[in-house]
Amino acid sequence: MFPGKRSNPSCITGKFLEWLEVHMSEGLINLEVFGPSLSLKHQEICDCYKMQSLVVRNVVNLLSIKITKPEVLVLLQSIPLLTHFHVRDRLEILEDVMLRCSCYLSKLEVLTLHFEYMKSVAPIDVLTREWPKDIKKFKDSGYLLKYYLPYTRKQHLKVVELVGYQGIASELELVNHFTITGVCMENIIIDPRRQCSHDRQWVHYVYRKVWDIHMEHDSRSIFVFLILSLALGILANAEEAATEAAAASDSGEEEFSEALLLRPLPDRKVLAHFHFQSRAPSTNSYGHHHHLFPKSIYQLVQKFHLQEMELSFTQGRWNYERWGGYDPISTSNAKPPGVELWAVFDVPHHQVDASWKNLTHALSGLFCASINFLEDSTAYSSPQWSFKSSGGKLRYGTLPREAVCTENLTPWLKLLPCRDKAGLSTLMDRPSIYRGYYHSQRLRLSSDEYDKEISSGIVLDQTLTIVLQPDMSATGEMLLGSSTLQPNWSLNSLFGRKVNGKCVLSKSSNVYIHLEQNLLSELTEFGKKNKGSHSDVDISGSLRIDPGLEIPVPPSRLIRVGDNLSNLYEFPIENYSESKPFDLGFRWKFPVVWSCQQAPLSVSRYLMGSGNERGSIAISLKSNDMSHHLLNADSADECQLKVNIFQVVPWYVKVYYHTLQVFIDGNLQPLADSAEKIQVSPSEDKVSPGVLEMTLRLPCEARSAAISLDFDKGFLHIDEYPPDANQGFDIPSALVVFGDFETGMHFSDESLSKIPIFSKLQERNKLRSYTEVLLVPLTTPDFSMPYNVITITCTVFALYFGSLLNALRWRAGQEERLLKSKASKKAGPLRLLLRKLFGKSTGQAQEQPTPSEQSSSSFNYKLMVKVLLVAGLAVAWQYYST
Amino acid sequence: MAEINDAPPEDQIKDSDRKSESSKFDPETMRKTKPGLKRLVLTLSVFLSFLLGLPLLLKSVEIYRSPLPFKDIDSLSSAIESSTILFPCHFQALFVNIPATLSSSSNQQLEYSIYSRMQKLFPTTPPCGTCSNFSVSVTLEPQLLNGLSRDRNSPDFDDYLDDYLDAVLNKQFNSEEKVYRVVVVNRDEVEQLRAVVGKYRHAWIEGMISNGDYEMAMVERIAEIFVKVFVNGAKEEGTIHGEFMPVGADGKLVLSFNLLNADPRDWVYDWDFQQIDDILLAPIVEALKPLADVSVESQVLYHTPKSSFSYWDEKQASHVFSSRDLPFFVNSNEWHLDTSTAAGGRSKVLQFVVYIPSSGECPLSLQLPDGQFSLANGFISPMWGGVVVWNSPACLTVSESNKPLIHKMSSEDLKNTFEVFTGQLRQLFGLKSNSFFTGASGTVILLPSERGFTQWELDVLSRQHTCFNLLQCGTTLGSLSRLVQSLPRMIIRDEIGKQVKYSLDAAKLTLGNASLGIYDTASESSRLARSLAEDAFYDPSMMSVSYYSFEHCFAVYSPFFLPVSLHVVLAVLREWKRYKQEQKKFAAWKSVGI
Repeated sequence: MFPGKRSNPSCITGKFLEWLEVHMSEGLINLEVFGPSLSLKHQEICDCYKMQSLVVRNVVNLLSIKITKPEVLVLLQSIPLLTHFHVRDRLEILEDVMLRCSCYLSKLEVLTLHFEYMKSVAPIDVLTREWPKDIKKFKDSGYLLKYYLPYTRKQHLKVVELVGYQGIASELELVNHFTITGVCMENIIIDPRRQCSHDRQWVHYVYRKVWDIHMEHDSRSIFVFLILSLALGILANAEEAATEAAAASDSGEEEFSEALLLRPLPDRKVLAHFHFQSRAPSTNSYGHHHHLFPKSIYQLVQKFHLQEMELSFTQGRWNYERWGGYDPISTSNAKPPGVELWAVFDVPHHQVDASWKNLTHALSGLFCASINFLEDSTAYSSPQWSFKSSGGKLRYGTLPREAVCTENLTPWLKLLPCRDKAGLSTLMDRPSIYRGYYHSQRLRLSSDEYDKEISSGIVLDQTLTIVLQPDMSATGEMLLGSSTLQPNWSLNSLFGRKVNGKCVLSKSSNVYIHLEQNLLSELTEFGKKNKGSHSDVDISGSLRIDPGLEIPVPPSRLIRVGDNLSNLYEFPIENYSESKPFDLGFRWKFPVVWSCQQAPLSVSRYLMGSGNERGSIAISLKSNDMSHHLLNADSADECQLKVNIFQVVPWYVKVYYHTLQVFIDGNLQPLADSAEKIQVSPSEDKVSPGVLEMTLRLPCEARSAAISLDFDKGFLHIDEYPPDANQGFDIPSALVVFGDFETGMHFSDESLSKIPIFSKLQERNKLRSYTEVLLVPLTTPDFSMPYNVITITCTVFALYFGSLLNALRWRAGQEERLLKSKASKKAGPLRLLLRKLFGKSTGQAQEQPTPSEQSSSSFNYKLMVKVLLVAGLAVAWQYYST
Repeated sequence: MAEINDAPPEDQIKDSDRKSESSKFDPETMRKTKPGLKRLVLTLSVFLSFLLGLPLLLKSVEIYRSPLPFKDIDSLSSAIESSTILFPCHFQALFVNIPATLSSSSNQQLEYSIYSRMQKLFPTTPPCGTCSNFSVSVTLEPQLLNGLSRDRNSPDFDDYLDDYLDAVLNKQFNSEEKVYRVVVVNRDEVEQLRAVVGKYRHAWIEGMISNGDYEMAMVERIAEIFVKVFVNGAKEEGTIHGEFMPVGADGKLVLSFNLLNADPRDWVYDWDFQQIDDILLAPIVEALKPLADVSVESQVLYHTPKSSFSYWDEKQASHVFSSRDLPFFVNSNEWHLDTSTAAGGRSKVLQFVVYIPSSGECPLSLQLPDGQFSLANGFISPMWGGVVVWNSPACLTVSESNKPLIHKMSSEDLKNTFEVFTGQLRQLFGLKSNSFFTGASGTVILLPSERGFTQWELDVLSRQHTCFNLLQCGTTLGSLSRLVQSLPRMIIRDEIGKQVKYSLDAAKLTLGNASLGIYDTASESSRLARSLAEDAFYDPSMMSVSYYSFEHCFAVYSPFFLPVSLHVVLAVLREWKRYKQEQKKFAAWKSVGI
């Protein structure tokens, strides 16, 4: 752990360095400061004109940063105690200045940005959990700021005052941004006067102009009170912006679009994410007959009054550690194994269950799956708030053991107008896509058909997310140093097919390659290091692709993702045809090792205890590096992490909710301290499953947390056992939602949100991850047991009855006489023989045979022979049958 | 204990006997005391109590079976099978201006001659859903056509006259009653007899009938119109039989219209179905309401090639698909026509398909077996639906542009196509698709209705439908009762009993209504009877496999009853044997003693 100047040959290692000042250094180009053990408190970089980037990561004690240099890429990550941040210089061109303070700038008090001759907007992304309370500090400096405020409920920003308002488009954008993101925003005061009187440019502003932009987040309508207006065309500009925002949503025609997003994953795999969207206008304006929208889905919506529905078929488990846990795709497309279905109905409360039951049957017919098993009231639940708040009209059910295969994919493809005959879906070669490590096909439906006021129709999103392993042999034996190269791949090598042009009915059909932030930074770093040896920097077409990669097809454009610096390359397939199929190659030039962005906590769930009687479920949350730095934070009690847990347990696993225990860093915590909200609906035998919903508040510095619940294993009726009951019973995945974190890409280009895949990626969703499915072994009876029980009881009864009857008939005197007469008679030849045989062994018994003894001994012999015979038979049977 | 105490005295007695009368007494073959009945009675009582308990046990393991009215079912099915359902029909012939030659013969004579003619035309065993005990009346109505205000030679005079007659006749007679009428107009200027059947329940014949030769021809004509057209629905041989009426068991019918673009890479066609639905289909749906609950849906599908190949015919300059290959036209692998969720349960879906061939097989014509080309360029498949091939006008001028344009079918083309579909729907219901009927005595013009089905055709359909429903109901209930009787251990829930009862009631109501000639009510109740019968037959509890079989019962109870009954029976037999033996001994001793 050392702070270092990467570009310089020597590294500075100063564990106890508190104050770092660099002035007038010509040689400093890149500066990176990292390491949680550093005691660095103040950092000042002044007048270093060749400097290109400043990266500060994981410096927990850093209090202030000051930098004066234009065109510097500033990257701030995980600096929890930063209070003063000062940027000052003449900034002529600011497009490339990216300030990124990705998390926990909770202590930031003063952010000073002196942009004296500013011409355009500096996109400054400040991602903070707690916004600095004193927003007025900004008015000293920044006139042209753009804050990407996260949509947290805790946002207390109420008043924004903008001084020196000029009325240019980017400023309007900023105001617009405030109105959208500021949840509690009450007043935005825009003051066009320049307060600094030395500025000649603004002297002619005579009047003070104040805008109050009041926002009500229920109706999302904006009231603009214009107190004083200047004839600067500001009003016209503002109206334009407002109408543009309003007109984004509705369109009068059916639409279909397709897209494929490819992303190399750190563990040599490739993520392919197909996205298809069909859109139908509302019935009131458009009628019942559709040209593109699938009839069956429309009828489903009409029949069951669906408001929202999501059905996913998944095989395999999303690897949150390796494939990413903090991006839109993992949040909305990583699903629990098997089938997951949830739906929100727009019917009165008492009809919701009936609608759900009918829906499961309809879907099971539509998708050739056993979704109808979710009809049973023991199989579904209605989460109140942890899954999705929906006013009690939501139903949720999972089938963890459902096998997913082509019979589910074919009906899913039938909903696309081109099925798999044309367009991107031709890539879905069944052997290739089912060979993958993860396969999740998803259908998401949202409709506002039954909204009285405005209705924009039905939107059907179909996604197929697969993780594939490219063929390693195609990469070749190129080894660079000790680390092997990532495998090269192409569409053809991944899927075994090429794209023969687009689906003619689709409005847009593009292929995107997504390179993550970590990968990009590794690539640039590596590229700079090896500049000497790799002089052939790849410049294909007009766009520059990172030098570490080679993509033979030139992308049509490069889309920068605003908030996490990742890149998207777009490849339209419009101009390709059968004679000229589209194939996208992806080649690595040198080995790169990177890691995906992680969720703040990694979640796992396991079973404890042994035996067939009881056990306990534990959900453990382990902190990732992302919140590591908070370990040494001084005022940690303020920083808390909100975690929602939603867990459904089948009724035969009888959970005792009073045994709920929360451990933080291995220490038992009182429930009241850590749980903010708990809602439990206990299971009812053979009627309903148990549902646990809880919100935990964990201190940020906690390394790990765990909750545990004890349970008893119940007994099922013999009819209720599924086939192959010995395999065990599944407890569905628990869902963990991180309330404070939202995923969603941000694009600087607003027009991108019209492309469905981008509008989906842009959606701000709470970060969520699913746990593993648990397998609980229950006592499984021998299914022939009831019959055995019947047989043995009947035999006992029959024996008892028979002997009773015999006893009733018993004539003691006569029997005695009979025995006497028998004894006097000569024994039969067989008995003589036996007596001879056994006489030798018993010896004296033969010597004095009294009549009574003789009869008893012969009786004994008989018995013994019988017993031996039976035993021998049993042994032989055992021997031969096994 | 009692027995043990009892035994020694017996022996003592025997011993003492032996001492005193050793010479006569042989203990092996005789005894001096009467043998005791105690044990025999005991074992017998056990045995008998088992026998008595057996019915109780059987009663306790009995499963619940709702009592079904087997007798009623049998009587219903036998009633339906033995005599076909016939409706009473009334016919009326109206003479506007009776010719001089006919004026001599009275109405009764005319009535009689028409009646006898009609009886000859009726088959000896009338098919289901036709008329029985019909009545014919003849009246003179000289003023009937006085209100005519349009020129006879105007092109739509027939339609005008039809509407006029409907209005006049409804005013003159009770419109509630269903009477089929033929209006005879004597017009000397018309040489040939011209017969027209209107959209309602009447027809008219005009022509020169003053000549005596024409009298018989006219009577023949009238009888033929009554029997062949009004009663039998102008059907010809080879049309679909009434039993195959495409209406689901629950009385629902879904018309699913599909526009199939065989290859959208060449061209994409779209249609304005909403307009078609409103203008062309709504009247048909309305017209068919008494027969079935019709709903309409549509979809457009892409990438749907047909499954068999056509060949290029140079002469016709088109691709030809011969009727031999028609069974392979419908490509069930690629045509995802889909049943709809609206058609849940047992309702019927009729698929109507507009097939737009790709540029590789365009224009495509269907060839009839006689080498001619189909004018409508379509075909039907009974109980499935119909297909129409529609060739794109852009067929011959293939543009090489990479991007296919999205065209819209012109409203003219759509109208033509849907007229073909209307004809196909009529054919699927077993009616004629062309507008004339050729009988033995000449051609009859049939006026088409804009609703697709004329009133008298609907009458025919509703009669047939009623009859078919009743037949189906009878067979379903019959097989249900046979099934229930053949499986004595099947559980029958009360609901099934109720459904069967209601179904029977509805069937009886239908029979009553049919005999009174109330078509609509009869049709409705027959639908109800059939759907209830089917509901009962396909009830999930009846279908369940896990009914409690006798083998199961045997397997559960035999481990107890087999060994116990062995004990009991053997004990009884032994005791009985012993008692007899001892009795014999006692008898022997007695005989010796005496």
